Amino acid sequence: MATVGVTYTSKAPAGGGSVKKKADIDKKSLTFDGNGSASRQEPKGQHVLDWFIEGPKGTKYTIAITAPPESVWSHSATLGSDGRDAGLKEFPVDS
Amino acid sequence: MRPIIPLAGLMVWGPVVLAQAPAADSTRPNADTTLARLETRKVLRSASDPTLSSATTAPSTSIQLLASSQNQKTAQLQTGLKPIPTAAGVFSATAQLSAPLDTASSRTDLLDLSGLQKSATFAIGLGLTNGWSPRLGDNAVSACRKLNRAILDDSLPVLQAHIDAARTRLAVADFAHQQERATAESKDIAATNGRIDALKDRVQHVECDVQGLTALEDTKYRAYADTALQSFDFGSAWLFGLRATIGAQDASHTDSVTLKQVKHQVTTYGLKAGIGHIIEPINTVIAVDFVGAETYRAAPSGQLCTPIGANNSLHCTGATLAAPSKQDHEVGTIELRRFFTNFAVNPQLDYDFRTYATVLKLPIYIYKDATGGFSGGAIVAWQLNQQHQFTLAAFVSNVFGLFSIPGQ
Repeated sequence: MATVGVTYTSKAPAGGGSVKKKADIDKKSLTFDGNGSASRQEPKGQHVLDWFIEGPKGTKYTIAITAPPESVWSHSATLGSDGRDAGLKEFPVDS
Repeated sequence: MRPIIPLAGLMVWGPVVLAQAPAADSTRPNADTTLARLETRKVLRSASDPTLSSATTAPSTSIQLLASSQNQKTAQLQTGLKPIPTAAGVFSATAQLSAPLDTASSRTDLLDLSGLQKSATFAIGLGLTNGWSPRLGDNAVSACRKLNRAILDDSLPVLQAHIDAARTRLAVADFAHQQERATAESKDIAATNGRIDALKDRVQHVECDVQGLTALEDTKYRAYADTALQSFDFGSAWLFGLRATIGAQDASHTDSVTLKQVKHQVTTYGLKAGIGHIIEPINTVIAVDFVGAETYRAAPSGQLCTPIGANNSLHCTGATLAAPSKQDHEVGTIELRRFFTNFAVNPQLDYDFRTYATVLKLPIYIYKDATGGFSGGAIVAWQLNQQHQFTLAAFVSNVFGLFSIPGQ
């Protein structure tokens, strides 16, 4: 087992309204604190992080795996006119 | 060398633009099929109410003419504003002008139990489309892995050839006095190796995102990208609509004492609210509407007879002898909109809570494409109770512009 850390932050343009975000590991929702951080114990093996976001055009967001070290990764993007994005990342837990 | 597509999610997919066309493979997804499905989804979102009758309609700019066997003809013009995405959903607004092209009769219009279409009306509609129950499909990882594998397989020979060419130049060229160029070649080799490693990593530890997949749609990997895109389900949408209508209705009657024509112009009102749900797997919308309206109904015409001469002869003409009477309507509608590739059916059941009239309508319409153009069809309406009237109507419309609902 290892602790998997995830951060999920966003910044909407001024006056742009609120942003809805959702992220799961292996289809189980993560609960983020006020700083956009979440962690969970996961067993050794391959796992899948998926994320969804909906917000005003121009919203910048970053989702990152901060732990364990072998899986550190991050993805940043800006929402276009459709106001939505989603993605998935497969990552290993070695111990 | 062509530039890398400038999207974060696509940085390592950039080499696909260098790749050669892959050999035909019957196991690959069919691009035509997946595109048709996506196209149908656009139609579902955009042209969801070609009869312009529902409160849960999509913003569009269109004109429509309708004629029914009850001798009722109406013209409608609708224009929509560009939808605004917000955290609560996508807001849209439409304005509608509608005018009867003939004199209002006293008969119930089966196509419009609210009676509003007997008057010239102006309506403002507000709509909200909301759906936030996103989930990842079961085949998402494998679909993205197949895409990444196809890109890797196609890109590897090209990138390897690029590296070999750079190595050859380094080996045979005299860069002794061109240190900068030698350094650039070495950096290029390292960068290309890095791209190969990133592509391999994307196969081993799959990574893909909607923006990157969408940008790939115009390439030969479109079919893979469409399959992967369909794995990202943002949730089925709910449609909410509200439409306020005000109208002016002209009427006249013959005063039975003075025998003069008395003209009336009365104001009609209506408020319609609706809620609908898109059942995406079967391309169907189910919606419920309720309209409250205050209109006027022309009095039935009768025989007006006046004596002529002295021999008790009468001259009789048909005339409306009473002023129009106010009539309130409360009409509920439940409807299904089922969309096929180029046509749709839209069965509706109307019930007037005041008169207890129940009408079953079946519009069938064809449309040219998802983005606008000609649309038209026929409506069969049958009153299930009371007078068992039957109406057949035809309508044509031209959609000048449809605003797709972002992200739907």
